Amino acid sequence: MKPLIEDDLIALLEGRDLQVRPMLGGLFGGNRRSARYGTSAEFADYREYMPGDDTRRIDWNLYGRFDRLYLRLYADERRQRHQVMIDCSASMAWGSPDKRRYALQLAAVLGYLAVSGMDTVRYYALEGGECRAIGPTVATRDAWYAATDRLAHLTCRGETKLQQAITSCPNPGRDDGTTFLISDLLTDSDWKAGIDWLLEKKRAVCLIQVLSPDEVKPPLYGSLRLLDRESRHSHDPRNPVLEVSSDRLRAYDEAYSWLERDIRTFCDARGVRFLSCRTDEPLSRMLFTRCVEAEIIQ
Amino acid sequence: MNLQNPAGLWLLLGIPVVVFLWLLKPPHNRQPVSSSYIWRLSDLFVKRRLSAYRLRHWLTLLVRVLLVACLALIAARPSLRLGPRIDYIAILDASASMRWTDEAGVTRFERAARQIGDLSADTAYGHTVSVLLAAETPRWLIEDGTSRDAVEQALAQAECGWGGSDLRGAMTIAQLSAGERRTARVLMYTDQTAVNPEGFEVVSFNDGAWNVSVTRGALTSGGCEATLLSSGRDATVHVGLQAGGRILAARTVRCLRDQPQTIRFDLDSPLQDAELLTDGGDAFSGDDRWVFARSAEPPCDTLIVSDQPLYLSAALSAIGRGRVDVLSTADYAGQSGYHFYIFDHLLPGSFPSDGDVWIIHPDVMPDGLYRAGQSEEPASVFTAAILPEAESPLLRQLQVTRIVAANRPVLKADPGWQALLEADGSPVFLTQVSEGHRLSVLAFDLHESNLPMLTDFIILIRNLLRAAVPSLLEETDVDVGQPLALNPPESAASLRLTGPDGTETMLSAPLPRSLTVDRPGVYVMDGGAARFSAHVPAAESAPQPLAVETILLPEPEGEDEEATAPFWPALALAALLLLLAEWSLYHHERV
Repeated sequence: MKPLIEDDLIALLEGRDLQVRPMLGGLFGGNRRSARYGTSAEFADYREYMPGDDTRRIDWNLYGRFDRLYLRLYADERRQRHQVMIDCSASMAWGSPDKRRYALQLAAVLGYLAVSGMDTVRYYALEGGECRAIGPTVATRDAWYAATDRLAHLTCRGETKLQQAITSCPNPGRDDGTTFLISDLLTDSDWKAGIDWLLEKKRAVCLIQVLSPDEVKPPLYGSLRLLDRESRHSHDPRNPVLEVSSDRLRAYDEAYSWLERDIRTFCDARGVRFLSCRTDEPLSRMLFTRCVEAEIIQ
Repeated sequence: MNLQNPAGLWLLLGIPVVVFLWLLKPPHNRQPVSSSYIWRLSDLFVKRRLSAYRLRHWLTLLVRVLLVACLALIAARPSLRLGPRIDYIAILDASASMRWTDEAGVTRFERAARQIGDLSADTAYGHTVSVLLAAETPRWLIEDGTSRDAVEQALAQAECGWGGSDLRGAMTIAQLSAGERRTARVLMYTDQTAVNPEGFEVVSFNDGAWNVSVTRGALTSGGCEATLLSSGRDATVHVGLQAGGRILAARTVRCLRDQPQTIRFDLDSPLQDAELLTDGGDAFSGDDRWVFARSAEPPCDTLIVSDQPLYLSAALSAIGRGRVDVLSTADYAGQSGYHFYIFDHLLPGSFPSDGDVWIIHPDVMPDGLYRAGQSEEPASVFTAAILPEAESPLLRQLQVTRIVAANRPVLKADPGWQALLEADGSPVFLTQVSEGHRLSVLAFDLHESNLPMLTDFIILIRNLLRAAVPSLLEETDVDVGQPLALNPPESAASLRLTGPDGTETMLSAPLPRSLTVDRPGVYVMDGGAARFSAHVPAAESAPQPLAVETILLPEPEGEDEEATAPFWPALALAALLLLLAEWSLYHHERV
């Protein structure tokens, strides 16, 4: 099977890093500045001495100057715990280029950058109403390679209830990393509630929507009965009969634009980073231009 | 409106088929999609434009129904009824007066042709147009023309003549043609005015234009004379006489409207070839000049046998046609070798066999003439009149008036003699032709009359010489379209005729006795042996009203044929527009 990420892309990823915000939580021994003060060797700030503070931190030079006691504070560097949740509904197995593969490539890149930044990453498959972990937490490059092999064997089928799946995440953590949700968001499920749940867990959330070109500009015409890949039978309400005409296509454009605005408004209001990408866009351009613009990668 | 093929309306059955197919929605194609989420979301947006969508949806059906209806009507070949079909017969006057131009320089002929062309537009509705060109000899330009193009093409090949036109002949032909048709309408396009025309219409092009013309010209012994005519208004005309490119004389003449004005130019020496010109600027330039063409006459040697030859020899010398010899009556002994013999007071025992003979007042009359007495008047003043029935070349240009003569015998003549002049019922000048030669007799004594003092004397002798040795041409002036008498020599095998434009025509044996030309100018025969000039007939310089004419059209039999205007082109255009509309709606749906 063709590897998800080619070696030349991995080479391009050197020197890149995820753009993350400082967290309070996280594992010790990382490379990320924490919002707390810690015990690293890097000086961070001064604070006035308060009874009970460690006297070993008193800066006596300042005392001699100002005749007041100040503590030296040091930066706290932690290792963040990132999560990459991949929507494994049937609608993701669509298009040319394949949406599933594109999503898995993105997931693999995000994992690589996390590991390169001395963070950890864990992959989850959102299947049905469950959030299934794909292998153990990835902390090293070797583990990452193994994780990408597991990702490559991931299948997309059936219907995924995003809200239920997200909220069933077994170990969401708290204020210790970013959750990347990769999905097409073409679902009746209330995924927004799932995002809100993650935000309530004080996780930084990054939403990446993956669409195929024919989902943006469908090349359809005529009297059609649409068959939704996630529907169970032909008379499922999700399989409407439509007269696809120029008016209907125009209405489709308006609906798509409305959907994108709705998602963006939701994300902006909550400080969620949002990126919508099409599978016909080269992965390298998407990563090094669009993701940089969206402050996902730096 | 009527339908020429009502069976075509069966195509209207296609309308329910179209409606049925439209209602019969095709089975929905099953189309897998990744997700119908956005499609279902688009329902909110498509409903806002539902009315326009539905309208366009029904409009497509309507356009298709109309298209089928159009095609059914086209198949039924509808046409509009325009009344009975008319066969127009147009008589186009092609006389020289139709060359008169208007202020824009367009001739009457061209304007008439244009109007006939406009008339032929009606051929689109089933009418027909026939055009009869009324020239010297009427001929059909086109019969039963059914298209404007055909009529205009025929008119384009027609040319206006320089002579007269046989309008009566053309009307007769038109009447015969009209009698063979159901509904005929005869129109005459002419510049002549017809008084009370019945059975036909006159389209007049007589616009009262002004024209100055030289209607007649003649060389005189000392110059020339001509007749001018100003039609339409009074005019002051400048006239010039030129020969060899040189102006010999000029004059200004005041011409009153429609009144002929004779002018005369007296010159020091006789004119040979000359030309009389007016200053133009009128409606027709073809009659603004008169060319005098003098044709050399062959020599005619004359022998005068007379004891008093003075008058005769002087006249012959003045005419100047060949050698003139004189013998006294006593010296005559049957000499021959002359073309013309004059015996004064002598009847020879035998007439010369090689020429014509003129006997003046013989003591003894030739065979067939009898003295019936003598005039009782010793010196009778009589008016010798040309006999009404007399036709002879000897009488050409003779204007016999008062002749005073003594000793006028009263004669009776046998039927073999032709009396040309008479006085008081008795012939005084007779002629007969025997064995190819002419014998003429003047009954009274020339020397005891005033005849030698009259111009008729010279004219009579000239006529006698021409009869003895005829010129190739009888006349040197002729109207276009009128025959010119020819006297070709018996030995001639061909004659070459050169026209005014230099074109040559060979007349081969048997040579004609007359010639007709169709355009004005100077004509030369046989490289210059004879010359004559052709002129526009005087009648074309001042067209006269046409006498009352009636064309009787017989009562039509049978049913009228309908004139119809086909309707299908409009329907075809409508069908094409509907097709474009349907394509546009369909294309709009797909885009």
